[in-house]
Amino acid sequence: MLLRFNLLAILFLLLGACASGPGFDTGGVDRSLTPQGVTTGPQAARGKQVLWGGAIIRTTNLKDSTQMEVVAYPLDAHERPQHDSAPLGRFILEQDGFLEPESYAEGRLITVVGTVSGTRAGQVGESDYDYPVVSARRIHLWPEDKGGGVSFGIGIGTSF
Amino acid sequence: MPCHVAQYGFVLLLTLLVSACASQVPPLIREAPADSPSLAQVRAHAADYLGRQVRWGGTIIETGNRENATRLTVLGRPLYKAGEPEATDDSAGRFIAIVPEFLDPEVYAPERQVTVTGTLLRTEAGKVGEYPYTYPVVQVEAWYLWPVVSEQPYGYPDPWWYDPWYYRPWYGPWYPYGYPYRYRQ
Repeated sequence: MLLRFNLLAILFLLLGACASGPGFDTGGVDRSLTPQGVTTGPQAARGKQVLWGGAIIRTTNLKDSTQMEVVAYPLDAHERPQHDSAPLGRFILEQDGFLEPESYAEGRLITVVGTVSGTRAGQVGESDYDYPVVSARRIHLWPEDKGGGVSFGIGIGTSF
Repeated sequence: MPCHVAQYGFVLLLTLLVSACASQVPPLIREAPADSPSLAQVRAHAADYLGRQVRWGGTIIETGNRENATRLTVLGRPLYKAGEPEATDDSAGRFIAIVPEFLDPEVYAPERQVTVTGTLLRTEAGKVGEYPYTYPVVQVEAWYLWPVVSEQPYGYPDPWWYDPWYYRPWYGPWYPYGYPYRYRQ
């Protein structure tokens, strides 16, 4: 009886874990604005609130702030970036203070809510690239996906 | 009677496997020193805790070999009761552990999990990128490098996994002759 209850509790916890997202306050966010959209119309985009997510390319610690270069992907229903979809362009994220680069490491997924503060000219390889710059209000670092998350195994057993 | 040899060998193997589960972790790592300050407390007010015993652990960032010692830069993580770092992004920050002997940097490599016990010696000013960073420094007395292979491949017990042989290993598919290759004569 107790065992069954425990199993049920574990089930609920697991299901709950699947649904957990950043839980951001997304009021005032312009969901139609993508990084590419900012690059093509930077004047109109300045000051707009965005909810973007993607994979970290690099994290740089400056004297009193942290900068992150991110490849944006569309977000799913839990605001998690879908990094098997077509990317929406790169952007730079700026955050006051220190973010641990070993945690905010290359390849990790984040979702951020913040304000577009402008664009910055940079380069990808030898190609010029205009990065939209976002001042972060809140950043969510998604837990690392270690080997597939929840797995459903079906065991078939026979014994002699 | 080859089948008895096989059975005996199987039991011996089982005993070996079971004893492999027994802990190799040093007692100083398994049990936290009494009244040991957390990394978060020390990073906030290091001066209050100098000379105190700490047990900290986490992920190795860098291993530096000095003449008679090894300096580990570690990203601290919360520890389970038995001293193993949790697999989480929740970190109170970095610290430096000075181990009084040579540790091979190919073994004590980045991403490996380590737990140390020792005395809080001092703090050291360094930089992460351009950001000024104050590292607590621990003079290590005992340490343990956690094995890479986790016992739970998914990080938690898989509630749907059921091993049909688990409760009666001696009735496994090879019963009663044992595993057909190893003990063949």
